[in-house]
Formats: sequence, structure tokens, C-alpha cells
Amino acid sequence: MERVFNRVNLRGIYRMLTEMAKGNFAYQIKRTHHRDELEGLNAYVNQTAEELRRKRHQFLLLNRQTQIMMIRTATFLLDENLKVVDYSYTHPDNIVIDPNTIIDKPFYELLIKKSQDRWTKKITEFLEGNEQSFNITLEYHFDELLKIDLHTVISRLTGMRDEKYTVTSYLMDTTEDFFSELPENSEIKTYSRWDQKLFHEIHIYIMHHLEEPPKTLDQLAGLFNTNKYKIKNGFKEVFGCTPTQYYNKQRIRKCKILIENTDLSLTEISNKMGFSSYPHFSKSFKKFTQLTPRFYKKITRNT
Amino acid sequence: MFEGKYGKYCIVDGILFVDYKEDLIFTLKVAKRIVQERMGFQHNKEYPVCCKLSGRIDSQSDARHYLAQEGALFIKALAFYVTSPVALRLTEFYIQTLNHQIPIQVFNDRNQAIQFLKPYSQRSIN
Repeated sequence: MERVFNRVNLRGIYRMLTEMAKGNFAYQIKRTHHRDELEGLNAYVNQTAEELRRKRHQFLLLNRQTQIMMIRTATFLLDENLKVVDYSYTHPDNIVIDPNTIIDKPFYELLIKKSQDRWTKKITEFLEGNEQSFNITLEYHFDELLKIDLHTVISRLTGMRDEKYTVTSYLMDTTEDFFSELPENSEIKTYSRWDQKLFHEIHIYIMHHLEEPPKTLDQLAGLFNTNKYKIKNGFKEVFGCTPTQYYNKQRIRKCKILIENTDLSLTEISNKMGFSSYPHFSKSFKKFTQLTPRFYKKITRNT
Repeated sequence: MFEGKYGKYCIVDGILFVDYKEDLIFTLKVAKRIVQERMGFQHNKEYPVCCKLSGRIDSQSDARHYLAQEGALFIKALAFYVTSPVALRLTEFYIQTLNHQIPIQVFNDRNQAIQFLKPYSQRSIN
């Protein structure tokens, strides 16, 4: 049945928009089993937050003076029955949590249903084995409407009579408070909005022309009406390599997909991806993967 | 006709039809498997592709970026045929927020999706 767009049904959207306005892109609206327009809107807002979070990392890279990261953590100490003995956690909005809602409770009760199943499976395997720790992504009950996925490490504590475990969940985040206290650093390089757009457009151009021979820096400069030094240095600042290196890396990624998933011969792949000759393809492939295409094909086919 | 882990594949009149399972969540792992199955079914030939999405689907950012790049290999044009509001909104999001190298559109009518793909199927026959 189609739900109506009213204040009650839209509470999750309003909560999420408020969190996004505050800079919290890691939250997600809890999804339901409905298939209606409102559920479509919930999903759309979640994905918007996810993409904004992804792009924010690039923004931080381009504007180095704001690249202050902190890790926000939640730590739980569990006893041999996996009940919470103690914990350390501060709510991002400084909401005081009643310890009685956490202490002595089975840890899995802090997780949403989907995560509970994953937790139970992984912890059972862990308890039966001898591993010191394992990693998992857990989704905690954050509040009535929102949820949050956190990277988590579970470790076995040694040296105690009874088995005990630590659960450490963490989220990389920025903190606004730090910025105002920082002195201006004139040596840190920043890029204008136009330059950021330029590097973004070059990136798209490269991704759309992977099956053609690479463009030189002079050619790219001509295409984008700029100078080659700006492209070379700026692109490297953002993507960690020059446009040519980036092009080569991405082209090899596509070649790997073709080797893994098609029965095209290596020569056909070399031709399709615009290499001047098979030896050129083989040399480039080896440079990025440390393997010859022939050997890569052999190992991927065997697996 | 081929039934993969996450969908059914068949080729009719030069168009590859992919019917994804209901309520599918596109994680990176699922996306890689889908690309692998599709390319295996195509036998190195490019096709226009009509994907049916239904139910309460969801997708993760890594999967969307993978499908827009590596996932576009051997696809001439892509039409999404969606049957639920959730699938429609998420497909619109995918189309509008990522850069695509191929013509791509979303439809809630299967025949319109086929009409959009027809010019590309004729080119592959010639």
C-alpha cells in the first residue's frame, strides 16, 4: 500500500537532511520493506549522502587547509558470554546515553537485525578458531530513524582467566572545531573552483578515451585551453599520478576485466584497447601488475 | 537463455535482455559477478542491453562507480526498464550522478525501452 507524504512518514528524511547539513554524511535512513515512492525518496537521499561523502574526501584533498581528519570511535568490552562489561562512546550530538541500556546487555542487541545475523556468523567462527582478531562492518541502532555503518575490529584479550573481547568501531570524520584554531598556512597548495573543474573534466576525458592511444600533455593542454604544467602538477596533486600514468593504469584495469571475463585472445585485447603492438601491451601490463598478460590469463582461468 | 546468480539473460533480435532478481542489493561483489556473467554470455560481442529492475533494490557507491566504468564494457546502449518507484528513483540517481560513456535511459514501459535500443541492434546486425 502506498504511504502518504506526511510529516510522520517524512521524519527520516528531515532527520537525514539535518545531519547532512551538519556535515554527517555517514548516516543512512533505515530502509523498510515498502516499495512505494516514499521508499524511493529514502533510498535517493541515502545515496546522495553516500556520494557527497565520497566527493567530500576529494574536496578535502583539494583544499588542504581543511584536511583535518579525526577518528571517532566506540569501544566495547565483552565478557565470555559476549555481554557488554564496559564501553567508551560519546554521541556526536552529545546526547547522554543511559549506561543501563548498554551494560550487561548482549552486544548483538546494539546492532540492527541485518548486522545481528552477520555478527553471529562471524563471531561463532572466531570463537571456534584461534585468530587474534577479525574485521567486520557493523550497523548500529543509532536512533529510531537513522542507522550508521562502522568499520569494526574485534580482538581477543589474552592473559585473563576468563575470555574477554574488545569491539572497536570507528568512523573517519572531520571536526569543525579544529578549523578555527588552526593558523593559516600559506605554503599549503589549494586549487580554485575552476581548476578543480578542469582536473575533473580531464579525468572524465581520460576515462572516455581509454581505447585510444594516450594524449600527450601538450595535446591535453590544447584540448582544455590551459598549460601543460598546470595539468601535470595539478592532476598529480588530486589523483596521485600524472594524466599519462592515470590513463595507463585505468587502461590496464580494463584489460584485466577483458582477460578475466572474455575469451578474446591477448592480441585482440591489445588491439581493442588501442596498444600499438602486443609487446607494448605486454610491457605496460607487466609494469602495473608485475605479471605478463599470458601469466595473468593463466592464473585467472585456473581460478 | 542463461540463468546467473543474480539474473536471467537472453538475446532477442540483437538486444540482450537482463532480468535482475527482485530486491537485489548491488554491492561491489554483486556488481563484479553481474559483469562477469554478462560478458561470459555475450561471447565477445557488443549488444544494446535492456535491464529489468524491480522491487526494493538498493546499491552501494563502489558498485555504482564500477558498473558505470568497467560495467559498460561490451554495451552499445543501455535501457533500464523499471517496475517500482524505488527502482525508478535509484536508476535516475545512477544515470544522473555518474558519467556514462554509452547512451543510457530509464523507462517504465518495456516497449519504449526496446524502441530506444533498436537503432543500436540494427547497427550490430549490419
